[in-house]
Amino acid sequence: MVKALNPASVEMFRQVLGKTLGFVGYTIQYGCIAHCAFEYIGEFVVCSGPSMEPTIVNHDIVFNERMSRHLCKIEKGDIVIAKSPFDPHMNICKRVVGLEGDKVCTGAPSDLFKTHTYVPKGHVWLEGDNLTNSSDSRNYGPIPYALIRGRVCLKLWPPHSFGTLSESPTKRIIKNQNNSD
Amino acid sequence: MKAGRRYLRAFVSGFLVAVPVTVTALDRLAYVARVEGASMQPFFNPEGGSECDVVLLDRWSVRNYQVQRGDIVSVVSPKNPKQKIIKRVIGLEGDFIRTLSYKNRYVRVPDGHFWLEGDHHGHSLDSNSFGPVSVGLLHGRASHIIWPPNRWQRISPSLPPHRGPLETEEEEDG
Repeated sequence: MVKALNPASVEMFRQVLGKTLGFVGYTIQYGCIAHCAFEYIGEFVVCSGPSMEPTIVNHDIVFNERMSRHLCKIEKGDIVIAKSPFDPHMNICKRVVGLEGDKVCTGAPSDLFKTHTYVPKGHVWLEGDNLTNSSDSRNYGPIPYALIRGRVCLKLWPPHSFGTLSESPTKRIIKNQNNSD
Repeated sequence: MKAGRRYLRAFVSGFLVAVPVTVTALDRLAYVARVEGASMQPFFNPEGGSECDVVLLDRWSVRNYQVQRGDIVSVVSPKNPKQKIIKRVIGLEGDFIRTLSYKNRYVRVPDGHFWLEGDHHGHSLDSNSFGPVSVGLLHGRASHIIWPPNRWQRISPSLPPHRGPLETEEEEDG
């Protein structure tokens, strides 16, 4: 038999339902704002691995800004975070040494005869600053531009090296190329 | 005057709610796109001409980069990061593919890549021209054709005849 609910408990149920819906609504709204911020403005990234030493070392926290990538304004010499071409769940942090159309040096600096190649359309050539201990485009070739997630613009941790990141120490970037934008 | 200010405030706060929610839904849940070109004929745009098919791209199901052979997916073009292309997945990582017009006759799809082909061979810019595509470029999976109304249908994965990974003998370790 259905027992009639007394007005007080109906009222309490309506209040709880109203608060729950309000809570869910706010969660969805702030979750979406957070998604937009991380996707279009920037995100914090913890780096690991030795491939970008001495510019970025293990356990550094950097700020990866996304706007340059969406506006296609990544430039030669920028440090970028990109999806690994061999595992889309993993990210790699390297420096852009060549944009599409650029000439890049594929061998080691100590080679007698330097081999060069041109970066194909829609791709970039990435190299770590720590050339001896970095697996990058010298191993797997240029990667598509769209795998880039963003440009690292600021180092946040550790506090003694807070600030913007320095230029490439490796002198592998071939400047003065005639490129149209 | 007061009613106008109140209306403006309601409009702005509604706008601030609607824009992030819509953008997040388009990024994470589903996207709608027009299929242009003849590279997927006869599956999409069978008559050619002016009416292009419009598809619903499921972005939620590819959030972990899981696709099946035979799925139709949209990826960011490796040749042009501002453009997206819709093709069919023919092979996944580790598959051996007999290519149609690639520089090598046989290709093993590397880890983290897949092999895409348009159904209309010869009229399609796909893996036969630029090789295996990195799975990180995956944008969405075409799940339904939603326009024109007489072509409403759910898209299920199916490999075209004679296009698929080569079956190799699997060694069973006892």
